[in-house]
Amino acid sequence: MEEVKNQGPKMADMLYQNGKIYVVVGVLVIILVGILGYLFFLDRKIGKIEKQKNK
Amino acid sequence: MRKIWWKILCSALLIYTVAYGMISDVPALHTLHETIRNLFYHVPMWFTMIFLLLISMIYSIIFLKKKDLKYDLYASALAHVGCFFGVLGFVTGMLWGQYTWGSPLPQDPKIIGAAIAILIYFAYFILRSSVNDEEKKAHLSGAFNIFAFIMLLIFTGVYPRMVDSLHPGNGGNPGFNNYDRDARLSAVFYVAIPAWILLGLWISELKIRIDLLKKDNSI
Repeated sequence: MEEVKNQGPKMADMLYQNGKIYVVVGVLVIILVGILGYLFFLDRKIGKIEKQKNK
Repeated sequence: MRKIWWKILCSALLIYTVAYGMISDVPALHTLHETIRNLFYHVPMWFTMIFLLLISMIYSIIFLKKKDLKYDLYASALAHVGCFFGVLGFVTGMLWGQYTWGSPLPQDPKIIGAAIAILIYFAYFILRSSVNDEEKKAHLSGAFNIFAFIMLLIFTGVYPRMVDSLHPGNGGNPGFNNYDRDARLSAVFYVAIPAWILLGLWISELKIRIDLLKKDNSI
């Protein structure tokens, strides 16, 4: 697999390096961004309810 | 009105911790190998727990002084989220221990101490749910919360140092500083600690706001 890849033209293959650990890092970052985004969403939703209450 | 900058900061620090913590250069250690990276994830769970429970206790003291039920609500929400992080620390520690110490639950004073401390906090929640009168509940659990935090410090901070422990910095084991002094580790570790603590504070803030709304029958 590695040899076959090395025969071909050199391409941007960062995600294939180091046992493809960068793929895992990508997955982790996507999950984390998803969770953090959801927290921001909840934050806004609670804020809206708080505003309604204060009216 | 509400400050958002620290939540953005928390997100940035967390993304750095998780992404860079996986690919950063770490010292090659026997037994631990790549699992030394758990320093950035398992250890801050406990730091976050202790931080949140400390603030919880402070709010309990403020409640007992000022007798405002709002502070009791803060204390209980922070204790909830703090224990949540404690359970995460426990479970991640079991996984780490399985592959380094050879057992998920070795006879280690720090593990036993942490388990007892979390159980004491479970008693706090049971105490809260068993009293119906709001004032009485707040007074009883406020006093109990102070006791619980002192017990937490004794069982996780004092007792493991008096006997032999597998955990670094306890008993006959070398101090935390042996790993800590490694600049490659501290570059991530010292970011990981505030990152996870801010996340804990953020979740606690959301829980407090929901509990306040519930109390006013708004949701």
